[in-house]
Amino acid sequence: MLHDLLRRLLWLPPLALLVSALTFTLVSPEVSPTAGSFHHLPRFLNTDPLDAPALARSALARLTNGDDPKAAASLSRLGGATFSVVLPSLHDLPPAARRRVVVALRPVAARMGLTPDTSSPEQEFFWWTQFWEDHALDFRAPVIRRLARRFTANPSAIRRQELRLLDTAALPELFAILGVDGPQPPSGLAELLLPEIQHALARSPVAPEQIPREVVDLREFWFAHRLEFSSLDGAGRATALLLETQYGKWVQRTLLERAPHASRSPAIASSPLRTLLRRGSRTLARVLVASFLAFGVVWGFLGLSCGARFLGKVLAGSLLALVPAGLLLVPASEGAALILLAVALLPGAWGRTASLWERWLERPERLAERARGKVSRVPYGALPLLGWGLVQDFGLAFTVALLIEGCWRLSGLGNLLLTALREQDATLLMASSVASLVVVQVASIAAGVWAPWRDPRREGPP
Amino acid sequence: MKWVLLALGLLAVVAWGLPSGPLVAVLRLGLGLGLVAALVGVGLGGLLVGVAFAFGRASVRWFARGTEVLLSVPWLIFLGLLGQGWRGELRFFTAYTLIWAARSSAVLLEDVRALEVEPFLEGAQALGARRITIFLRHMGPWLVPVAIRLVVEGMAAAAPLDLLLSLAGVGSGLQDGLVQAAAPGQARGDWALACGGAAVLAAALLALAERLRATR
Repeated sequence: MLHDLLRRLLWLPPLALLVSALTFTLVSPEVSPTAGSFHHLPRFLNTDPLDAPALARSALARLTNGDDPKAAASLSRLGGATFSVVLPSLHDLPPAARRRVVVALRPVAARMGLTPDTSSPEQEFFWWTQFWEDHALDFRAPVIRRLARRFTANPSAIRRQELRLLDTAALPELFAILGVDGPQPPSGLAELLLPEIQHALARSPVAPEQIPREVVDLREFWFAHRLEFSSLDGAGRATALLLETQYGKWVQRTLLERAPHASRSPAIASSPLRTLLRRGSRTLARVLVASFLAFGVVWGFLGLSCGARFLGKVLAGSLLALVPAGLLLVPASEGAALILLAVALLPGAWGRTASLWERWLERPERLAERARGKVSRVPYGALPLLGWGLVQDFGLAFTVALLIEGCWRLSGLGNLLLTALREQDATLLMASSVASLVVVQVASIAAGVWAPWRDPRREGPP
Repeated sequence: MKWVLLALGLLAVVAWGLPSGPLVAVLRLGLGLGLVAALVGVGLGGLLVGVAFAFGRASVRWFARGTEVLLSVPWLIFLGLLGQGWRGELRFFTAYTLIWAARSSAVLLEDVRALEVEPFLEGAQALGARRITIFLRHMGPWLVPVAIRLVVEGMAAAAPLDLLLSLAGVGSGLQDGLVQAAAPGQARGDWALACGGAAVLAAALLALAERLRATR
């Protein structure tokens, strides 16, 4: 028993990933905001994660083959983060390609506040060569880290100038200091670092009152594009296989609560998991109470005669059809929502409980007891039946509960999830699938522990 | 039995040919999409359960876990996301068939696992009968009534479920007329007629299923 329990608990995390992946597969990548912000990434497996050096090599190769505006724009955008690859390679390029590369680097030089000698491509090439000979050491990670920290601790015009000279190479350190997730940084820190980040990314400055929003936007950008300005090492390259994908980003964002959530649903200010827990608890409570109600009604009928049971079964099945009419004709209230939900669950509860009860009654031991007049009218094994019922009907119960909440504007997950469904908000849909899986698995495990002793179809412990 | 099925089929064909109306939409969904989806779903579920049973107890246990996982995803997500861009009816049919296949598998598996410990089945196994033979010859008669109930439940649940989904904007589109009538100030006669009709239809079908169970 303990072995089985442990095994099922250990299976829960991989199952959660499987279910979330299944939901993610169903969400349209063209519409989903999650897929949209990570549109440049593959969906599930990134066999060739492109970090800054890889992107630089790709751009250099394309510029070597001929004039390529996209490659030139990519090199300009990536800037200082690619210098360790681009500038040492200039020597090895043919003159025409070298000219195209130095032209592409002009916007970078402008961002850095430098004025290369552009009188001829050869002069410009020599200027960049000289620049790299003088500053190669400045582009090493420990040097950048020290400079960024000194600038944060004691900002000065000279340190600002040194930082701008590093261009996008300083971004990883600047974001590390600013924080890539969690609460807003202190206003002084944000005001100090934001202009440097905006400058490196060629973004327009914002008014002071828009700084919090800009911090959120920049964190979101960094969460999606971090790899383009960083270099992957061995372990990083291995994890990037899964993490640098649309699905991997979702897992980091939702489960590990990395980066602010950028859902389209305005109701979600905090992480989707926290929102689900807060709002979902109400929906879950409704489902549980309605399940108890439905099973209670069925158990009440079980003690009646065969004819009454038949009538009850037929009526229970037909009542589901009245739920939509009830939604429209009955005034919205908490009690009415519970009753409508219980009515929707009646057919399933009846089918399962009644058939088990009848089978239990047919056992020779029960027949003998009945002949002696000793049979109990109260069906035992209540909890496993409820557990199994919850497992098998949870999808239906949860769906009807959401629809009732959505139509009646009751508090809970209903409105949120229906909006997410219409707008294909992958983050929320996947988080709700995972939460639903956890509830069902817990109910199933509980029923599995209890059932072998109390299942009316079996006699005694296994 | 065959006359009942023939009558239901004819009713469904007639319903698809009739001009739209609240009751016709219910008939189309219940007797048309609902019946076919439930039949296909239960058939598929039964087939999968049979295959799992034939491969031994371990495969039954794994299959049971698999169906549990599928059933734990809220139906709303399947019904709302599966087959985007398809026609509304096809989308609903596909999602509903898959859901019903998973649900049927779970219910049938539960019965199979309970039946497995029955003395007559243990006897058959001890005598060397193949598992697939045991499933078809000895378990089949016990499972048929459950399958009939599942088909009827599938038919009965299709129309109201789609109506609820239509109210939320993700339905099949067959009951759009009713959804428009749900606007404030509109008469609710169509709703009472459609839902009452669906309830009567479901009651009749369930009574029929019970009769079939009794005469199996």
